[in-house]
Amino acid sequence: MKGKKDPEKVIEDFLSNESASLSEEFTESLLVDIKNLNLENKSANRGGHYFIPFASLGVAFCALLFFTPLFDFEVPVHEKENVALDANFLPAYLQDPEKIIIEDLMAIPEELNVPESFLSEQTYDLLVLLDS
Amino acid sequence: MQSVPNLLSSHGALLEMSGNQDRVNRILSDDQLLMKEVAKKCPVAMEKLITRWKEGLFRFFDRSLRNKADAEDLTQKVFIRVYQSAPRYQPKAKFSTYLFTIARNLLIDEIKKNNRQQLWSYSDELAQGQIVQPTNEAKEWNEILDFAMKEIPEYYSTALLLRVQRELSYKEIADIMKVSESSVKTWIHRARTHLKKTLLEYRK
Repeated sequence: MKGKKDPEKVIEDFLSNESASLSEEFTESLLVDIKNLNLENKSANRGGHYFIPFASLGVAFCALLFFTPLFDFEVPVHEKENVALDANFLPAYLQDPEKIIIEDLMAIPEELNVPESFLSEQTYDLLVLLDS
Repeated sequence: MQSVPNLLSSHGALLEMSGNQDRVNRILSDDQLLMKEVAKKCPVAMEKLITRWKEGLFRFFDRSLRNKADAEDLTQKVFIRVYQSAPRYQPKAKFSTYLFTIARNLLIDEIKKNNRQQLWSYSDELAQGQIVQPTNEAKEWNEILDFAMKEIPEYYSTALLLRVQRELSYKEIADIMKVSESSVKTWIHRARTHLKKTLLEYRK
């Protein structure tokens, strides 16, 4: 049982595995599988090529048209006013009425306080004389 | 099954060259040129590649997996993958490097799937009486070495099988396994040592 064969040679023979071989039909059946694979790919490409872009785009467009009128994206006017007039939303300095008046006066342009824009009584009298 | 000449005359790509027999012969003898034809869906080229490489792949998988049915399945998968990836094939290295890179990837997937890497030893199995005593000496050695192969990691056995069966250089094996040449040398040495040690232990 315990042979005298060189272990190196035994290992090489084992690893080489020369005796193993495939069935005779292997190549034939594999080529058939590959041919079928080719046909499947062709049919999948043909079907998908025409259906996917047009169908999916069409459905998306219809859905857009259908749902658009249901949404009013404009905010109602009364809601806007409520927000603006609500005292809670005003800053504290604007809630003191006197302060608002003072600040409004301070904001008047200086040109309005210049008296030169109004004519004196003598000037009016002179203009009346000239006119007559 | 169509004969090669029939297929040759039925395929457009090679039909154009049918007047130039030397060129057709050159294509049929060169794996990389065959791959170009496979990319054009030429059945003759594919058949030629299968015929040339099927036994080598099968022997590799058979020794790696120790299961002929799985080895045949994986051999088939390799060729299907080669066919599918042929249009993207870039002949940067030898065709065998490309082919066995695919083969090794499929082997790793198969091992993961089946969880074949069980760390058991031949002596344990022998002690448990799970091994039938063979009548033939060579068969007995093969069984011992089969169990010894089970005990080493996949990368040891792959490196060793590519070296012994395909006679690939360390560089080519390193390219296939995407490791350094020194790692390949180490793994092959350790794998051989383990097989030899197991065999000698049993033969004492």
